[in-house]
Amino acid sequence: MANIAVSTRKWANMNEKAYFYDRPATFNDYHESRWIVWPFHLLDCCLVTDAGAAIVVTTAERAKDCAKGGVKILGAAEGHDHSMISQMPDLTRAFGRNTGQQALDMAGVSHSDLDLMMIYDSFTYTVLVSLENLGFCGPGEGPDLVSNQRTAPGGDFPVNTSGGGLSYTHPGMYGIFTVVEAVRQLRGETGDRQLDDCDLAVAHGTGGYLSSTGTVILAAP
Amino acid sequence: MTTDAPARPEPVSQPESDHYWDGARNGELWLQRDKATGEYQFYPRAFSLATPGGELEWVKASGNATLHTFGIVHVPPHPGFMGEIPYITAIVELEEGPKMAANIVGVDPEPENLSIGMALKVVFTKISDDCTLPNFTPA
Repeated sequence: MANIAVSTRKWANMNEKAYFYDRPATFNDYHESRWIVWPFHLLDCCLVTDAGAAIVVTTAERAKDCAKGGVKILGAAEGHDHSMISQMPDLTRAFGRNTGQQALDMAGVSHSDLDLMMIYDSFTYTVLVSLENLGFCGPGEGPDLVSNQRTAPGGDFPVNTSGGGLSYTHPGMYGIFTVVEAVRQLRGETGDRQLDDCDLAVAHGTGGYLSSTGTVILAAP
Repeated sequence: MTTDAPARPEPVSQPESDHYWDGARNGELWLQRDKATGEYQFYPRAFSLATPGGELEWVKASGNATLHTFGIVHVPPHPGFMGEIPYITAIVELEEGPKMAANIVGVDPEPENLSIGMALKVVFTKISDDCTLPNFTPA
């Protein structure tokens, strides 16, 4: 969980719109931050901010005339499971176990094709469980997957390049911001934090109490 | 705590859960069970999860459970809990099958005092004249 907190903050430090743009955080800062609910430190928890975002969805035909060109939606899936966390069938398996594969199948792409992972980070744990559920690794392998700052700037598995809900913004409903950053990266609009050759991204949102998920696969214009 | 601190919020009994809360006030844990399949369900509902349209009966639970997961709350979700922190919130798995949320009491709220799968038994915590909560403590 510390790897996620620190790598996400590094991305925020490259996003001038991020709440924590000018405030770095080290592993030491993470471990010394106060408990909110053990085993969650302060730096495991998303921000509480005001913010807003909007997305225009239109036909491929009309998108050709748009000033910035349209990002393509290749696959999408959504679903809902339990309503109370105490009734969740398995605390390590949210509905992304279904929506991830459905969206990938619709898009006709595989995990290794993806250049950017935008994963709703209400908590650092949410990222770990979502990556596992989406099938980037097996159950319990999330910590290895995100080890050694692979998800940070310069890493080979970029996650939440905006700074995420943890360090960019979190107005209660953060999901749309996963799509906004994916679109910006796919259009090459993100300045210093722009990924090289970002052609394919996944945006994955989680709602309720790990209750519902939505997964979208997006491709560069 | 000052005297004008917000009161701790209490559960609101619904018709389908009146029996549950009445039982808790009497120091008993009651569960619903599908009459046809014998499957237990929690939380109380107006309908059976096991059988569409199936009939339910109320059964007194053993009070035995195991610890499914837990957290130790240092920042409460409501100011009415400020006087309780730190406290242990948990999901327990009842011997009868269903899982329920409860506090773990009677043990210092330190991670080393708890382990997943440990045996628990129900205890009852009176929080007001109207409300008693089923909680759990190491068996």
